[in-house]
Amino acid sequence: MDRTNRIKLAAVGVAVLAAVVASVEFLAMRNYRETVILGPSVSEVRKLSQYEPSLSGTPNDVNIYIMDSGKPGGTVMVLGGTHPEEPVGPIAAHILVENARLEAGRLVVVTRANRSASLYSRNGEAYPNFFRVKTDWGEKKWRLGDRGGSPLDSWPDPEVYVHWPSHQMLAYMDIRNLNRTWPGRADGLLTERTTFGLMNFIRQEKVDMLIDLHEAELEYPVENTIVAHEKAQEIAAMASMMLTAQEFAVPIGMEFSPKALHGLSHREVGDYSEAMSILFEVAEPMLDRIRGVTDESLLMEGKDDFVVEAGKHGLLYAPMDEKGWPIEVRVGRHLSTILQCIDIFSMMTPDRSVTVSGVPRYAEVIEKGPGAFLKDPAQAEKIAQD
Amino acid sequence: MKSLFKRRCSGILALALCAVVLFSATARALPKVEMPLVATTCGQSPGGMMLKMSAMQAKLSSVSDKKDLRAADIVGKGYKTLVVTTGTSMKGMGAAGTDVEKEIARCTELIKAAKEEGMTVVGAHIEGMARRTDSSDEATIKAIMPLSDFILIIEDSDKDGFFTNYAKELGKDLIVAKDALGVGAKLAELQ
Repeated sequence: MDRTNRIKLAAVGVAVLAAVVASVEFLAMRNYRETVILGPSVSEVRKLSQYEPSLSGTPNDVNIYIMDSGKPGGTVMVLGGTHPEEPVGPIAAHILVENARLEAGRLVVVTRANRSASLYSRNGEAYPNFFRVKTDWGEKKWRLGDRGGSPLDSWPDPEVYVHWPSHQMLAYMDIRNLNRTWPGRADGLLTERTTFGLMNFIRQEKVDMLIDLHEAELEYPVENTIVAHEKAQEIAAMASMMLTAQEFAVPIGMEFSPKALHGLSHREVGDYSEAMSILFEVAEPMLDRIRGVTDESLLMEGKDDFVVEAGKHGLLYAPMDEKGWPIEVRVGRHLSTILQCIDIFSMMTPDRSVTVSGVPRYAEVIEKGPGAFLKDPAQAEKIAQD
Repeated sequence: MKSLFKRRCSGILALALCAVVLFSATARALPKVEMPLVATTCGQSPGGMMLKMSAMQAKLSSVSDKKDLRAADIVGKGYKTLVVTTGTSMKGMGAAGTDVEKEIARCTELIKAAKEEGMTVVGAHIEGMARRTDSSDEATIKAIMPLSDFILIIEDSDKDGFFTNYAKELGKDLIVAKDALGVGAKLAELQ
């Protein structure tokens, strides 16, 4: 064998080795199942395919955790995992499912709204495949996915994504982005059918308020805020003022949902159902373009010298210092904002009130860490997997 | 001896009188806010709505808000006070199909009408530093505050001392509430 052929053979060997390593990593992520402990008020776990049958057998036939007090009241629904690279949504959703005690009405939680998007990561940007929260019993592990669903589950993307039913033209990959495909359609691609199923649930189960949990880069102006549909504006305004005055070190603002920007939960859920729709944002430095080493530590601790430096140059829409935006601050903010919005909703519509206890607020999550509120699967009576 | 005592007493009285006159000259009465009050936001952020919600918390009746409040909405309606909050929202302006120039034109015309109606005009900034991030925010502040009778802000809006200095420069009273939730109580104090 001459020298050229030896080099070719070596190159093939390296490529095969890289493919094997990548495959092992890929399959480890795609096959990993997240365990959810069913808390004291979980009365039922339904499948989304009950509301859109074409989702049966797909990764987006997600679990819907229903916590029913058995007493009259309204229904509040919380979505975690709309964008899987924003880990606070799934963590906060798990804490709700595992801890919430319903005293009136119903709380419905989806921990992985776009599960397909959580099955692969953005390795090209060095995103880690998993993230972990420390607990007294060990570590709880989640997949850190990408923004849109996996091309393995939804392919091919169109040249231009034409949103249904507005016909607004959006970027091609947004057809896999759960927060660009509301209200969805039955004969669409996977993510459109997912939002179609969620809309069917919202309408059939008479959801009063939908809360969609997100995180955002500090370079993005819609930051540390509540985005509200017209029907939810008074609740959002009151919640933002009360949380800023009484709980949060960094204020939480409020934004009106733009009427002409389509596909987003805070717009379409309010327009196409009786539900009020609101979306929460909190600062996540790992999402910033100006960032340093991208790893699990940055994701969870939210500390980055480059983002701090960007702040000094006035490039950020949220304060950033050496303390960063650690996971306990981000989870605590979302949990308090959920509870505050539920309280105000219940005060304003007493005949549809929802009363929740057992869920920690901002100060308690900061003091004890989110891991203190995640239960040990080995001690659990009932579990489910996402 | 008696005349010396008289002279001293006269001197003390004269000094006291001077002090009273000086104090009266320098201490300005707090501005007054009369109801009914109507609020809007120059820049389509939720400031006007927050002010209304905070006023409701403070049990202030007759406080309303309108995102696209125009001169025709206030003329002859009996309003006594107009509050124009500043700071812009790209989402809000997008939702309303407007932009910062149109917003400034709308609010400038509104303030002119309010003054012709004899209303008190309050320029406000109650959403903190989050609404002082770009040139649009600055444009609304600099368009509205000079036209107002006094300026109402929250502590977070003045973290860098901008409003303290700007109010001095404009010669306007600056009223500071602790936070947006406290704005209603501050308005109640000024009644």
